[in-house]
Amino acid sequence: MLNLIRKDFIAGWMFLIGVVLIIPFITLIAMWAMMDDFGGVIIGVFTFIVMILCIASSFIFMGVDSAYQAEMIYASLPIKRSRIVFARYLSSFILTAGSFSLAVLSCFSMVYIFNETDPAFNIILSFRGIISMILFLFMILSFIFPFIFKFGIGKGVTAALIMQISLMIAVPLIKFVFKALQGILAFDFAFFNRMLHTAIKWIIGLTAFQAYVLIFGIVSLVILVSIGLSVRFYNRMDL
Amino acid sequence: MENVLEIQKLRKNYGDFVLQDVSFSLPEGYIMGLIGPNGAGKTTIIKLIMNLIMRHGGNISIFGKDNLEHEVEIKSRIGFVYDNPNYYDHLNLKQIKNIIRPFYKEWNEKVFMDLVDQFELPLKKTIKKFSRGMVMKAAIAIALSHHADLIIMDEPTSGLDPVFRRELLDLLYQLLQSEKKSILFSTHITSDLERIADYITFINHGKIVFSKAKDEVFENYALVKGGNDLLNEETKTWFTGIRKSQFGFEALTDDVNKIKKNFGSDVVIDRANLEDIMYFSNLRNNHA
Repeated sequence: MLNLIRKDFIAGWMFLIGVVLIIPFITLIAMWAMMDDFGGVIIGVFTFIVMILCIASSFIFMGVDSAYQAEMIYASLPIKRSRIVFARYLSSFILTAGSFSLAVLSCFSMVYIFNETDPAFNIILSFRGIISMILFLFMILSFIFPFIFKFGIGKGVTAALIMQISLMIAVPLIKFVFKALQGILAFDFAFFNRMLHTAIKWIIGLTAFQAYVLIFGIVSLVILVSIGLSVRFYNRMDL
Repeated sequence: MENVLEIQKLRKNYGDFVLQDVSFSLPEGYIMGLIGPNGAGKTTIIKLIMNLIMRHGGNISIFGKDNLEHEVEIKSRIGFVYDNPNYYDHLNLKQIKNIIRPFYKEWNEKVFMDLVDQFELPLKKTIKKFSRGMVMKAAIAIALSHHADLIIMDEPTSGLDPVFRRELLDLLYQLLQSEKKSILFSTHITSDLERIADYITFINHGKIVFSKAKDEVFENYALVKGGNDLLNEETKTWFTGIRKSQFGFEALTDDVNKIKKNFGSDVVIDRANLEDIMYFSNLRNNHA
């Protein structure tokens, strides 16, 4: 397993230099531009930029292997395909966490050098904020990876994006349809509302430790399901 | 004599191409040449042996074990060279070797370095500066450095100059003489096989035409030349592919005795080489 992760970093070293240079540069430029134009960092926009950068960087290893058709080499080595999949998740998670750390370090340096007091930084740079962001990134990658193992990197990322956009459209659409049907059908929509409120109340009532356990549990489950699907797809893939 | 590789009724369906019930076996310590025109199914068979693609039927047994159930154990004993080795071209050979070496317990650094010297490969030059021949040499050096018992090569001599092709064939022959290794070698450069192969498996349009000892192939097959007047509906069926011109016909037979008995001195019978066999068999298939 370690050999596979090591191989990703050896094969991708040239591109990793690009990540090390590009992520702090774009992070700093984005922060500087927002502070200059709007007088402060817009946390949503900033987070979105950092997330896109980190997710894009996590595809480097897959991109390199795809460009050189290296899957053939590794699939012919004495390793199970499931291990190749597992190692790919680990190396991509390491790279994502590393990229995010670079972005956070850039943020820290901005605060330190310019003595910034923007309250947005308190959220971005808090331990809870950093951990939440990294876990959220892992969740997004876990959503995308099975598509890549099924269709390859180009088609896989496109399929995952289409699926994400469809979900984003589907949620308000379902809400709209339910509202429209409320007067026509005899569904007890209040029941769903009560369920939702109870769940929210329960989550708010959790201690910090309980909340962390819950979040880690959900994220681990999503990652495990994702790995399971990817292994299934990759085992059946013709190389 | 134990079989190192046994394939039974192997099937793979690509939609526009079907590999149909392929069966053959390679005894331990021998070289088998897998021949056939481009698109015949040679690479598909090799990919199925290496479990790079999924099979739709049949069995593959390597070292007496199923290639799916014992995949890791089997692959650790196989040296594999595929037709278009795409190594990361921004890395050098030493880096490539360092990536691959940890996966093989039996890796022998001395063997690798000896092969690198023998093939005159630069260790610190990036792969993108290698010629196709050098890349193939690098792939062969890597495949031969972990004491593999079975060496599988998909078109290893294509793109190589005749001098290196001869060197490679000599090297494979030496390997076989000094150690009990077996080699499966696909190619459409049939002269390479005539030099070193013990067995020939000929595949065309996804079907096995024959899988026999090389000597048996050359004993049975022959090129027959004669006048067009000798050909009629019955005699045509005695040949595997016929090429006619205004001066006469040239055809391949797999039953020399029958031709001698029926035509006597009316025809000229020459030894058929593998290229002739491939060419005429393809003619028959195309006209079938």
